[in-house]
Amino acid sequence: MTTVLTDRRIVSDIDPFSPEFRADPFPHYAQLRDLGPVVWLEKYDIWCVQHYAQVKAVLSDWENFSNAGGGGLTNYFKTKPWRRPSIILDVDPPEHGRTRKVLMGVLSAPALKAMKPGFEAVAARLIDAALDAGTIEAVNDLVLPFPLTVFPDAVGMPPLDRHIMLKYGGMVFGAFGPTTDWYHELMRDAETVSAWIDAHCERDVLGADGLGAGIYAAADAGDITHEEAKLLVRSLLSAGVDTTIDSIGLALRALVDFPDQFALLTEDPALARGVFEEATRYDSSSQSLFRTTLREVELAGQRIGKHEKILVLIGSAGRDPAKWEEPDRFDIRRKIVGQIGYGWGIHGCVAQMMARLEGEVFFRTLGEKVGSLEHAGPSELRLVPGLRGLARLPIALTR
Amino acid sequence: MKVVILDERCVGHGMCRLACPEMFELSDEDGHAYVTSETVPPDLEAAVDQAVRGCPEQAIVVEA
Repeated sequence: MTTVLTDRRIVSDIDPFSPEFRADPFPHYAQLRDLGPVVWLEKYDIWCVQHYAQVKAVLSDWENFSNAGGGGLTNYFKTKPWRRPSIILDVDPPEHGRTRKVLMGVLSAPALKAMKPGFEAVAARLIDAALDAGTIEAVNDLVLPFPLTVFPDAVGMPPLDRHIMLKYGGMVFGAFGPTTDWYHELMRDAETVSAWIDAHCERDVLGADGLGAGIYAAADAGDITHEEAKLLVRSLLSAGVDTTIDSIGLALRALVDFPDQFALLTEDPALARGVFEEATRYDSSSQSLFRTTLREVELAGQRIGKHEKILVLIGSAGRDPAKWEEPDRFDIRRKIVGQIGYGWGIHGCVAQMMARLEGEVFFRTLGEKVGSLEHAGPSELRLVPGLRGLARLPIALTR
Repeated sequence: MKVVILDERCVGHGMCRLACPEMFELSDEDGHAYVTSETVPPDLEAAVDQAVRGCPEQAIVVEA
């Protein structure tokens, strides 16, 4: 068989940023997968890929599909970015390897093991309080306080005003799609929020034994400069909180939606890891990423020009029947090899092990302490650009 | 230094390949990691060590 390279393209008027798409992306993903491996979205003049194979191929090939064009719809090759570009996310090798190595070093398995007891204590306290209340709005009462406590604790941040991190997260992830009134409203506080975040990336604000201190120690050792250390701390603060809040919230909703799976967890709380791993495939905070071509390339027979944006639908790859058996079933005992929910390749989530640890501890504690779990009202999505997550999840739970 | 991957533990997170692409590859067949050679050249020992510490499944074992 020969591959014929063609300038013809499969065009779709699907709008991946519309409220309808975002409210329930999964049927739209299926529609896009049926259209073909590479589709042109005419509304935004961008490409998209939606099958596991192409998603992984694009994320693996940084020499053609770069992050230097920016993580959102805005093309940094053509438009000026809103903040100074990240020195880990928005760069390609060789610069990227040096900074990534520092983050991998501070987020090593032994470092995470040391954090675990602290995570467990916070999870136990929050779940006990939820059980005492009986009926709660789980996003704000239970889920959100967990990452918003354990993550900044791990970084070594002081305890005050941590909710500002959520505003910053909104600004970072909100820059993903087309700019909306919501985004402009949010950006009105940009100066104050950025200043707060900046101040909390400084060495003297951070505790002596946290991740932040570890990053500065790498600067002392000469692996990176002190200015780079500060920007790496900023990367942690950008991506470490909203992502896990949204993912844990969606995983919790999946457990409420699938009582048989929750029953399995209560029988064997060690399945907690499977809960979060499966939820990361099934319905998770990071549904899509962008890459920008550095040159004219060919992808699955489609010619793509230089400096063109590609929307990489990792949420769709997680539901691709060519890769997963019964992909629309939430199965906490599924053996997941080749998780795509954290991205893939050199820009795959660097703190994915910490996210997994948070998820594992949260759902293990839930499985140990909670006997029944059900909806106590309709859940609501947080329909803002960037991450997928819940605004409300009313639940009733008992011991 | 020698390095092996415990196949029953590996679930293909691919963190080792990121830490040391010279020594670790991911199988196209089952997604698991494999080593390109059991013997670790001295100049890659630090990177392999980072892969060991970075493996969430503790699936990488080194022997001096």
